[in-house]
Amino acid sequence: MNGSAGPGSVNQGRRLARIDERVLFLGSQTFLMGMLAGFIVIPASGLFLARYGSENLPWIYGAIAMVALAGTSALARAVRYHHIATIAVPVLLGMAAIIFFAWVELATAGHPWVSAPLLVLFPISYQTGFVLIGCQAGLVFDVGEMKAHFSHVVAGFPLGFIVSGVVGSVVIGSSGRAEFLLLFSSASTLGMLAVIRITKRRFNALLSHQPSLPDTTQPGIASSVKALLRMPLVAGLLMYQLLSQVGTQLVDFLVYDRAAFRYADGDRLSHFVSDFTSVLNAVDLIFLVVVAGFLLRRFGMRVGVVLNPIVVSLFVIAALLSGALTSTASLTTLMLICAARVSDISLTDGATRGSLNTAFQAVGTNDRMAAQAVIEGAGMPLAIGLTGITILVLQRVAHLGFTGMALFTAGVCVGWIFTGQLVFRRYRGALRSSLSDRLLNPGDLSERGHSATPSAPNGDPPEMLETPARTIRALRARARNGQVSTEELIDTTTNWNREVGLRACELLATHADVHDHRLLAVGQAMAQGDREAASKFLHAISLIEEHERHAEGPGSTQLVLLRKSIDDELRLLQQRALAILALTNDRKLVADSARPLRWGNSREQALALETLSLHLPRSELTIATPMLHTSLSTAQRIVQLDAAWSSADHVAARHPPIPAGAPNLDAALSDIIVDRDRVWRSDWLRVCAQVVSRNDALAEP
Amino acid sequence: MSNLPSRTTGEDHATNTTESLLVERVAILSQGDFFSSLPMHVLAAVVKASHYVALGSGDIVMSEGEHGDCMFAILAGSVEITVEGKAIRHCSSGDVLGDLGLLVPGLRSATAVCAVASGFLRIDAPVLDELLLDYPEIGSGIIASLVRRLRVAGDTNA
Repeated sequence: MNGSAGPGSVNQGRRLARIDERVLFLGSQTFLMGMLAGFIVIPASGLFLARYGSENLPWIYGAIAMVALAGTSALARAVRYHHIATIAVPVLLGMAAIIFFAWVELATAGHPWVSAPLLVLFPISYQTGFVLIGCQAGLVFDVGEMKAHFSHVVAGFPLGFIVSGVVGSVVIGSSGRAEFLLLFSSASTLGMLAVIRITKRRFNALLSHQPSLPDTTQPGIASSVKALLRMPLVAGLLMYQLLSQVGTQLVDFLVYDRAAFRYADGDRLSHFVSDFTSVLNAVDLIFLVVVAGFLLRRFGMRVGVVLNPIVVSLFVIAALLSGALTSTASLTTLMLICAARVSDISLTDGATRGSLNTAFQAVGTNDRMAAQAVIEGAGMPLAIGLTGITILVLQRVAHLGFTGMALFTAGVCVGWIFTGQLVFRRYRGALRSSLSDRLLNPGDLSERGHSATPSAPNGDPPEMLETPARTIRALRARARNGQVSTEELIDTTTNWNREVGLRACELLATHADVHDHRLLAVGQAMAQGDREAASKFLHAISLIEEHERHAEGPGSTQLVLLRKSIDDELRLLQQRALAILALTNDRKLVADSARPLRWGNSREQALALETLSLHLPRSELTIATPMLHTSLSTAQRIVQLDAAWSSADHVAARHPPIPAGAPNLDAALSDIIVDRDRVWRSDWLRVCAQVVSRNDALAEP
Repeated sequence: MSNLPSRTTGEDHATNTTESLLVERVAILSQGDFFSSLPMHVLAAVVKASHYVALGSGDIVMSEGEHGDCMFAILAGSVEITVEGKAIRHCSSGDVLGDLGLLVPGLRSATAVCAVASGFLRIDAPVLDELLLDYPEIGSGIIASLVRRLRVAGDTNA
């Protein structure tokens, strides 16, 4: 790990090492949640449909909406006062008890009414589960990790569902009594609770966000659901979640509508439903594990929030065309609607959930979990209730057939796409505001420091230190008085002393016109030099870290000092990367992101990079990221540096590949001392390297 | 380290010793709160602009009530700090003494006596002035150092 990467870097190292563990623990929770839901729906749906028929399902939809809204309000309030692990205890114990008593009732009295509350509990159980898991994910992952890993966490859900289907078949086949599955569901609920508690103990430092009582006098903390919904991003997210769920329910309805139409025979319909459910879950699982993380990392929120409705609407429109050209009962129409359903579920789990969880990161810490509880908890049941009413009205009042329903679904998808765009814009705005709302701007602080500190009587204090500070001070003073031309500043960016070049670049970003075409070339030339330097610095640090693991005694102290000194140079490169970005881009945004990038922890750095990625050209940010993201480990930064330049084709084509790092510490020290490529450019580093190289205590590991 | 450029002359031996001392002193300063936020090459410049002072056990580093125009960074040994004859704390390598007198002009508020033979870097006021001017981030190190001292004082009083 890059131990001196910035404040909190020790903890950051532990964070990165635990990524797989976090996915494992949260994924175990979603797996158990998938089983909990699967073991409810198999006996409950069969019993309800056999006893009460599908015409009574809208009553269930209404009950779901009412119960879930009351539950959501309580949950949103609870997350303000208690830890998620604490809230999970009564919630999951209550669920387990309800499911257990439902089994007792069915096993002893055989009352079929029990299936109704179970069907109400089914969507509430996994939606509440996703709130609990999503809140934990928001605490243990930063925004970049969320994009990369949340889909892997969600993958546990379809896996659990698949397992419950297989186990269900075996249990029903051998005993003929579906209600036994409720015992499995109850056990899975208790298992999920146990894993949540273990996760809390395992990642206590990350999950120890202490909820606080809402302070209505403090601006920025919403005290109620109403106040939360007054926040533009939260309102947009709720609308998006609502449309997303309505779209999902409508497509689900269309699938069963066409399937029932095509397969009138009950056995053939059951066979189709069984096969289709298997394919659905298998594709979902593969998509979540293989594609989803890459998709969000590569294309980000912008694509994550609109891809689902676009793909679904395309399949629905294709099914409409197929219905018009062939028949609405044709196999092609059914397959296209099934494809819409499969892509909807895969993209909901793989893109929509991840995007929404990422978007919550832009909501203030105090409101985040309450907003998540409201949106995730209320969005789905509200949508189910709304869909139930809509289907009843469209079918029984407006007498719409498949074509009308499909057209309506396509219309919902269009609204969903526009809401996705709206959410993306609000997310981008919210992230930007979170940066610019900082009370202190490092640039301002630095300037204040210079102007407020009294100078020596002659206005020019005697130079005591052999640093470039005097040159920089003079340059700044001349720039303030308008005595430095853009040409001179451009020349100074190539100064032998890296810090002088940096300050010249910063002055250019302050004084030169952002549209000056020369600035792009200046930035590219600096970035090219810096990538070579960064590569050498990171490789050298990597070799030193390797030695540090083995070396002890005086030699190790000197190695630590050398590593810290190289790390100072990397911090300088970080400032230079920011200054280069500010040359030709939104300078205020870059200045606002400087504080979290330079002094923030891993989470703050990731959020700042996410904000920059939404506003700056991808090619420029890709090149700068390895310099900016200092909370990554040295190895990760090296990989990122190599990947960044190979991916930026238009830049890489004009420049030679990054020279390989030194093969061992001897060679690295020699390189620092001789500096044949004129990359190190530091007398201090040379002195450190010479002292280390002379030290007999330094042995090969 | 066989393939490194070798230095073997007598003159270079002296250079090597100087460089080793420089690195050693920077390493010590970097471990204290006061200079923790400064880049290493700036610390090296501080060491170069300072003077080494060696004192024996019982020697007075600075006295309460005298005018202070410098501060001391302890490189080796141990120092006892007293106020009006009462010991208030012990300082060791990496700690600094007399910084308050430079930050808030006035007379020394405490006496520092070597508990054992000790080595110091004497850092004169203009050097600290220049550091504050060009590296304002040193402020966080100074605050950390003061807070730690206040805590120790609080614990002692309690």
